[in-house]
Amino acid sequence: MSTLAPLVLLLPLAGFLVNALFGRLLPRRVVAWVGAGSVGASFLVVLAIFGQVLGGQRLDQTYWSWWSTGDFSVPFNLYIDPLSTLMMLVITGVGFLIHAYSIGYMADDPGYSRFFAEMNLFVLSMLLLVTSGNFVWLIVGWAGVGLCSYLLIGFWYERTSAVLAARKAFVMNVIGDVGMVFGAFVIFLNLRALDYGTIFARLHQLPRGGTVITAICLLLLVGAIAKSAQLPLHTWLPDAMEGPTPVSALIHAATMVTAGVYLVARMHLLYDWAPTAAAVVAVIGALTAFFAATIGTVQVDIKRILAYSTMSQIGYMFLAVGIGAYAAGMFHFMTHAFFKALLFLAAGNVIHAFRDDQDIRHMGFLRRGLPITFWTFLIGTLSISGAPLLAGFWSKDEIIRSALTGTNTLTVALGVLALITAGLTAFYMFRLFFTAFGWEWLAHDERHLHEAARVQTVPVMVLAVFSVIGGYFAVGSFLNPVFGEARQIGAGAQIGIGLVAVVTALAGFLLAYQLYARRPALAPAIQARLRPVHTLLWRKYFIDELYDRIFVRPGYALGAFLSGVFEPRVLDGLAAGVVSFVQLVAGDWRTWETGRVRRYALWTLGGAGVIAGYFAWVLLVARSAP
Amino acid sequence: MIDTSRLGIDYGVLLPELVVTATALLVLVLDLLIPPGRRRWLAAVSALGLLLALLATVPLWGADRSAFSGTVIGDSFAAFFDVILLSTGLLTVLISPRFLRSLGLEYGEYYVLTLAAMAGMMLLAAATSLMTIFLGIELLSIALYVLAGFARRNLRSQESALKYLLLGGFASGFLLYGMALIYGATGATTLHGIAQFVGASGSSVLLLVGIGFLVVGLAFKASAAPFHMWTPDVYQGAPTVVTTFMSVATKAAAFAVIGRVFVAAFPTIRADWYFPLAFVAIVSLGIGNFVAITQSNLKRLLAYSGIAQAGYILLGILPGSSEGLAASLFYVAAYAVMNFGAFAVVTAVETRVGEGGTEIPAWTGLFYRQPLLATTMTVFMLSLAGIPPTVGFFAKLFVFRPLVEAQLWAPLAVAIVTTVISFYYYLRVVVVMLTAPEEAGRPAREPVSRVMGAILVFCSIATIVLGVFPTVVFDWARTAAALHL
Repeated sequence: MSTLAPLVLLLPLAGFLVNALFGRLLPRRVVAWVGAGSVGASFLVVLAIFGQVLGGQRLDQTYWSWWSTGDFSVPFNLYIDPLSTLMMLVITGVGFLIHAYSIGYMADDPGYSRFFAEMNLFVLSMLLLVTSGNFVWLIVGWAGVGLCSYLLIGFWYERTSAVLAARKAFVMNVIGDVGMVFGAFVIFLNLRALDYGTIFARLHQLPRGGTVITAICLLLLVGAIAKSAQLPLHTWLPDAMEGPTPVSALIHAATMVTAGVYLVARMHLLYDWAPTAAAVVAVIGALTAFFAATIGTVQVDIKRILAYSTMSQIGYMFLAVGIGAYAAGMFHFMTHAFFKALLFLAAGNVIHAFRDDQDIRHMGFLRRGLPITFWTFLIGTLSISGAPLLAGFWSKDEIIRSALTGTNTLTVALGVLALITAGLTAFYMFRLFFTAFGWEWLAHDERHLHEAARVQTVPVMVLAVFSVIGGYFAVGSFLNPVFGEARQIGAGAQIGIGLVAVVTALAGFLLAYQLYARRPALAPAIQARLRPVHTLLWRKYFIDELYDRIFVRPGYALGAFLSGVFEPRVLDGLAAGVVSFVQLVAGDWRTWETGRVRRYALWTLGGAGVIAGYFAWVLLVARSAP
Repeated sequence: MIDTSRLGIDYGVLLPELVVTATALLVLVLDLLIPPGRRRWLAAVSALGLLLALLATVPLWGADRSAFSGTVIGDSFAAFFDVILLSTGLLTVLISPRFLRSLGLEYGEYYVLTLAAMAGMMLLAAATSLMTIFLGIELLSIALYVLAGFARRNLRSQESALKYLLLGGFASGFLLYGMALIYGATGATTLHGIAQFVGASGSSVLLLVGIGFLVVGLAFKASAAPFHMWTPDVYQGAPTVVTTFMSVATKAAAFAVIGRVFVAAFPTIRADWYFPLAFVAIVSLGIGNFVAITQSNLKRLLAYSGIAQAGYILLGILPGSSEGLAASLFYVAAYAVMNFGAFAVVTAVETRVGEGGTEIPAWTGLFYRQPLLATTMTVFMLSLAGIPPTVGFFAKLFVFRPLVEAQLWAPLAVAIVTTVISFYYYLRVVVVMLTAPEEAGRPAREPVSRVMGAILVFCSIATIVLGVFPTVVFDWARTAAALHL
């Protein structure tokens, strides 16, 4: 395993280097093979590692020491356990499918090789993030995925909206990065270590629930919520949909945005040690889940609805890891990666068919033209809505169950909120489905929509299969060695809560069916009746406007003041003062350099004199004093 | 018969020095035999000798072989400096022929003198007695006096040689007098004997004055302020290849002695030698970094930069710990790579442009004429300024850290403030090179010789690679800094 683990990272690195350096010279076929092939090969290596991990092997090996002074050292060590293996499987597995899909989706784009180079760099960074055994390389990966996210959101850089969205994502993520770095710093200050093994071993030196550990967990949480688009650092994710759809599927749905969940799960010993911080995680998760779902009920852009859905589902994962149901959270991470990647890729096919129109009100009647996309999207919708026996049902049910059977009131309350959100999820997903794909199958279609190419439909079908069967993977028992046995719940409660969840989802489905399939006239009427509520949701609770008022405009004003008044008047004056002082001194000293040897010798004598004077002072004054 | 075994004759310890000396003698003889048109073969022979000497340092790693009645030692410390010195010498010899030809100075003596200076420097790295230290210093100095005046028809070169000789003699006086006083105070000439005496009896007036004079003499060779006044004049006047060699190798050799003497021989009286060394370090940082700002000649600018860099290297000695010494050693290695590179670029430009090539205005728009030279120079300037990911960054980081641990705030504060000031003149060089030339038609690109190009690329890659993997060299420096006597 110690030789396989670096190979996982090196393969995407090689793909990145080839496409970045020579991509423009290579034929497109080669670029595609290198781009998708490197991730696919990496997946095969991960499978081999998976087998070894199943066999009980673990790895925490230092490959090389970057640098060290005194008691501070930065090793490069990889940490392979079931948790990182699960992450690697999803990153390379789903990542490979999305890369393959991109071969078709990006076929006509002039930035073909740039796209694959950046995607490979993303996969590399993400793998580094999950396999690193210490905070330094975690942060390198963390910043790397942020960079790739920025580059790929702004992939079509000639669009102003894409550039603005990329900038927004970058700023939000940097806020998170600062939190992360400070968190790592506080850890180092208190535990004198940055590698996980030592941190976990020394953790108990800190008082349980004390200020230090709570501060560490909250600082790390800042990084986690920024990366995972949780309240209140969530506004970048919907805008991030400006990127190409495979990017949205890979980065902004399946992998990068779940890095926050991974971080909390990886640091679960820390969060167990700081119950207050863990509660904050759970509250933020549940609130985001609900909040994003409500916004999702009124949006009309197909990718934005899916983006709010992603936020909402990651909210579930945060809730899970916040209440200590780590395995459930990671389980949902995996099933979500399947069905959300599926939904995005299928949506990408629809968007292509409609020539880049993303408004669901302009779509419909897709069963004939895009049968594969239609049926796979339906499977994805059913899975995310929690239809019984599909993947999403099992994982979401486990989270809701863990919360509802919790030991304190807060947890139970959050569980109820999660249950309501499950109903909302079914509602907004089927609203999307009915509106965009068209319930009235018999209507005449004159637009001659065409199904996407094979290379785009096969990955979607594979994901559809996993969206169905993914719930039967024994993720919980696979992760047991990391998180310990999950709390056992009685069979009665299990079935009962499952039933309640199904009924809630069914209610959401029926409401959507009534409003958007059976009686389409009803929806505008209700919308008119509830205008204030609709406006609030339509404008996404006015949070963008709020941030604009609080941060962006004052920021610009401050910038204008600094560049218009402060810099020219104060700073330049100060700088000019320092410069003229330095030059005065330097110019003055320069005149000492006369070129005369006798003067130079005098200097030497003078220097010797200072030293002699000092010794004289030491001997005569300092030593004779009592 | 004399029992030679008691004298500790062990030629293996001095093998690198002996190889270099033998090469020098060989070149001297060959110079008489081969026709003047083929003198670059002398460079090849010298390079070969230096390579052999480099091989001869291998057995010294990890060794601890005191020889010749405790006057020299073969250990990792000596080997560390031998590698730096020999590499510098090797690269110097490789870039010399073309430059010498451009000045019409292709004489065999050049290589003989360079090799002789090398032998002296390497002797210094191995020296463990006041006698061998003095011997090494005189050997390197006399060779360098001649080399500085090697451009026989150039008045500036003559002037610089004379100045160097006069002031060098003056400094040698201090050095020798200091040694005499130390001998008088301790009754020993070997560092081992001195350390034993000092450890047992502590310091005395004689010893302190001796140490003070020793600092003056060594600081002069390291061109540290306020004993630096010769440096700009000599650096400017001497042929640029000689300056390149001098600026790197002489300084390294001087620091080999300073490191060994102060950290290994006088560890018990650190409180006494702290002030003179701190004084020299602080004054070097101040004068070097401030006066460099006003220079309009690149060789003078680099001379002041070198004075400042000597200050940084001294910082690592101040705490008197082996960790600090390791930092200083790392700094010396880093300095060798980046400063050699910087001076080599100056050499290359001067080879093309002629003597005016060292004036900063002549460098305007260099990037558009000679992108390779300008790019590599940028790397060296950034590294000298201490900007990551170059080796210069870690060199500064490593010497600052022991200061923090020893809580020596005053030198640290001076170092940080003057480092900020140094950005100005280092980056100014970069700005000048990137400024587009005013004349409309850009002059055609002028190619750089292949050897020079290869060496510059090697140095700049080393500057960056060592900035990414500093541990490789730092571990060597640590091994070397774990000194015994």
